[in-house]
Amino acid sequence: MTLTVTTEPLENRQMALNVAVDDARVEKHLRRAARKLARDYRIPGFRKGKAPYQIVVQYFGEQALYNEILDDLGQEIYREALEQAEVEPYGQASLADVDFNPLTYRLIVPLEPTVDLGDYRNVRVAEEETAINEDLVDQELEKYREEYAGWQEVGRPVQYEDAVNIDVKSVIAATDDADEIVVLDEEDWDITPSEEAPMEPAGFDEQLVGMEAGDEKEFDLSWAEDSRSIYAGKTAHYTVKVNRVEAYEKPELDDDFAQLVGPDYATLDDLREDIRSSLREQAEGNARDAYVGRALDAILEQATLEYPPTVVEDQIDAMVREYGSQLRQYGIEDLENFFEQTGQDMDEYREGLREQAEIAARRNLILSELLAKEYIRVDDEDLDARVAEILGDELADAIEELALEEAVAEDLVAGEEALEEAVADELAEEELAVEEAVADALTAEELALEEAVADELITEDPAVAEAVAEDLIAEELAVEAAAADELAAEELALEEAVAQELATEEDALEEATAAELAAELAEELDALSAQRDSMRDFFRYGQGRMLLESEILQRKTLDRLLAIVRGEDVPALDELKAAAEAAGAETESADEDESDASDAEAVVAEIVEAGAETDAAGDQEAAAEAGDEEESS
Amino acid sequence: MHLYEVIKRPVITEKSMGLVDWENQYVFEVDLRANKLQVKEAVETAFDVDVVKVNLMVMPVKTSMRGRTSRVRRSKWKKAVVTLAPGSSIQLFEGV
Repeated sequence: MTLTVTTEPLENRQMALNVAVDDARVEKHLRRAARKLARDYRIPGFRKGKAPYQIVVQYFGEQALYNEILDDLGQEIYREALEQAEVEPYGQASLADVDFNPLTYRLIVPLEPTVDLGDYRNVRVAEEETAINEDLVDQELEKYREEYAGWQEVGRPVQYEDAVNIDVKSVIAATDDADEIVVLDEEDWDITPSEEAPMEPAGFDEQLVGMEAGDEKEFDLSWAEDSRSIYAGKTAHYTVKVNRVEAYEKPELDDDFAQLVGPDYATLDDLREDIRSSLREQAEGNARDAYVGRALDAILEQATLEYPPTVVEDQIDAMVREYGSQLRQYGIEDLENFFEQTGQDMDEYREGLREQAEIAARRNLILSELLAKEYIRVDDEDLDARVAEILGDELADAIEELALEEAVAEDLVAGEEALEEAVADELAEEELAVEEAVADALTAEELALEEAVADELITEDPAVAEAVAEDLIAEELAVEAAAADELAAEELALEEAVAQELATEEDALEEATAAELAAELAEELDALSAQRDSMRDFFRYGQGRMLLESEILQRKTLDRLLAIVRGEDVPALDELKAAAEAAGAETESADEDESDASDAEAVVAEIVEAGAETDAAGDQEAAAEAGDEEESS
Repeated sequence: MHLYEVIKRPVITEKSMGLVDWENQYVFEVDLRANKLQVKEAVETAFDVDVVKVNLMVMPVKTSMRGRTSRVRRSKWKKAVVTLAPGSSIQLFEGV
C-alpha cells in the first residue's frame, strides 16, 4: 500500500482522513507531470518534450509540478483512502489541508446521517378543525360585486361624487357699462359635484346636491372678489336642469347577480356555496400542509438526528436552484447576473435560506427514515391504478374530441347533400317551367296562324271555306298540341335525368368525402391508442416508472405519517416487515432494495422541496417581487 | 584575467545535455579572451574535476537587417566544450 490512512471521527457525522502518500508514488506523478509540461511548453535550448526532468523542475519550480498533480492524484487518493479506511461517504468530501514533503492530505468526509426516530409511533398531534369563516365568503362576494360594479342610473337626489348630466345656462346680467355675458350655455353636460374640490363659483356643487332627475332650478351665484377667474366679483344667474343622476354602484347581491357571475349559478346561494367550497378546499389543503409540518416537528422533537453540514448545504443548493427556475419563468436566465443587478449578495441570500433549509433538511431525514422503517413500498397495483388514472383522463379527452370531429364531419356531409338536392330540384323545376312556356307559346302561335288562314279562306268562299277551315283548324290544333306536349314531356324527362345525374354524382362525391374523413378519424384514433400504449409502457417499464413510484411513495409516506399522529390503526411493524418481505420474494429481484433506497432519497428530496416551497413561498415571492420592482425602476 | 572571469555560464540545451551523457563533455560560454589553458584551470578550480581536453570555438555573431543598416542581435561569443576525465562530473548540469 502506498497510502497511510489514519481516521479521526469528528462531530456531526463527519470523519477526518489523514492520508500520507508514499514518496515514490508522488515522484512518479511528478515525473509524469514534468513530461506533460515539457510537452506543452517550450523551454529554451530544448525541443518540445525533450527537456529532462531536472531542467523542467528548475524552469517551472517544484510548486508548479505539485499543483499539476494535486487534482489528479487527489481524486485517486480520495478513492483509495476511502476504500482503505472502509468509510462510506455520504457526499463529496472536502479537502481541509494539504502538506508537501511528505505529501499529506486531510480530508473531511461526510457520513450518512443517523436518524433515531425514537418512539415515533406514539407521537400524537391534534388536528385542527378547518372552519370556513363566513366573513371570508362575504369578502369574496364583495370582490365579485366590485368586479361587476359600474355607473348606474339612480332614482335619488344628487349626492357628492355622483355623475350628473345637466343642462345649464349661466348669464351675467347686463349692466350700465357692460353687455350681457353668457358664461355657460351647455346641454348634456356631465359633471361630478365634489365636496373637496368644488367648481367655481363656489356653491355651484352645493346647489346641485339634492336635486333629482328632471328637477329645474334657478339661482344666483357670485365669484369671490379675489378669484382668479375673469368673472371675479360678478354675479351670474344660473338655470339648471338635471337630466340624469348616475352613481358608481355595485350590483345588488341577488340571484340576478349570481347569474351575471356565471350562468351555472341559478341563485345567490349557489354562488355562495361554490365560493365556500373552494375556500374550504384551499383551507383544507393549507391545513393539511400545516398538519404535516406539525406532525414532523413533533417527531423531530423526540428524535435524535446526526448529520453532516453538507446535508444542509445541499438543501440550500436545491433551494437556490428552485429560485433560479422560478426566475426563469420571468425570463431571467442567469441567477448570478440577477443578483448582481439587484444588488443582492449570493452568499447573503444563501445564509438567509439557511434556517429554513435546516428545517427542511431535518424533516427530510425524518421522512426518509420513516419510509424505510415503515416498509413503505410501491407495488404494481398502486402503479397500475395511477397509470390508469393518468391515461384515463387523457384518453377520455382525446376520444371526446374525436367523436366531436366525426359528428361535425357528418353534419357537413348531410348539409352538403341537402343543398345539392335542393339545387337540383330547383334546376329541374325551372327548366320545366321554361319548357312549358315555350310549348305554350308555340301552340298559341300556331293556333293564331291557323285561325288567320281560316278567316282568309272564309272571306273568299264562305261555305266551302268554313268547312275546310274548321277541319284544318282542328287538325292543326291537334298536331300542334301533340307536338307541344311531346316537346314539353321530352324536355322534362331530359331535365329530370340531368338533375338526377347531378344529384347522384354529388351524392357519391359526398359519400367518398365522408368515407375519407371517417378513415382519417379512425387512423387518428389508432394513433392515439398506440400513443396511449406507449405511454402506459413508459410508466410501467420506462423512466416514467420512477417518477410515478416516487410520487406514490411520497403520498403513501405522508398518509402513513398522518395516520400515526392521528392515532389511527396502523399495522404493527412486524406485520409490515413480513408483508414487505413476502412482496420482495415475489418479485425476486435482488436489486429491489437498492432501487428503493435511491427512490426513497429522490422522494424525500421532493417532499422537502415541496415543504420548503410552502415555507419559502412567502419569502421568495417577496424577493422576486423586490427584484421585479428594482428592475422596472 | 582573473580565473573567475573566465566562465560566464553553462550552456544548457538538448545538445549539451546529450554531450554530458554520451561523451562526458560539458559546455560553457567563456570569456572571448580566454584560452584553453585558462578554461581548463577555471573548470578544475570551480568544480573540482579533472579536465582532459578543452575545445574552443567562437560562435558567429547574429545580425539582422534594419533597413540598410545591420544590427547585432547576439554578439559573437566563445563556447568551450570541456571533456572531463572518466569518473568526474559536474553537478550543475544535473540539477541537484
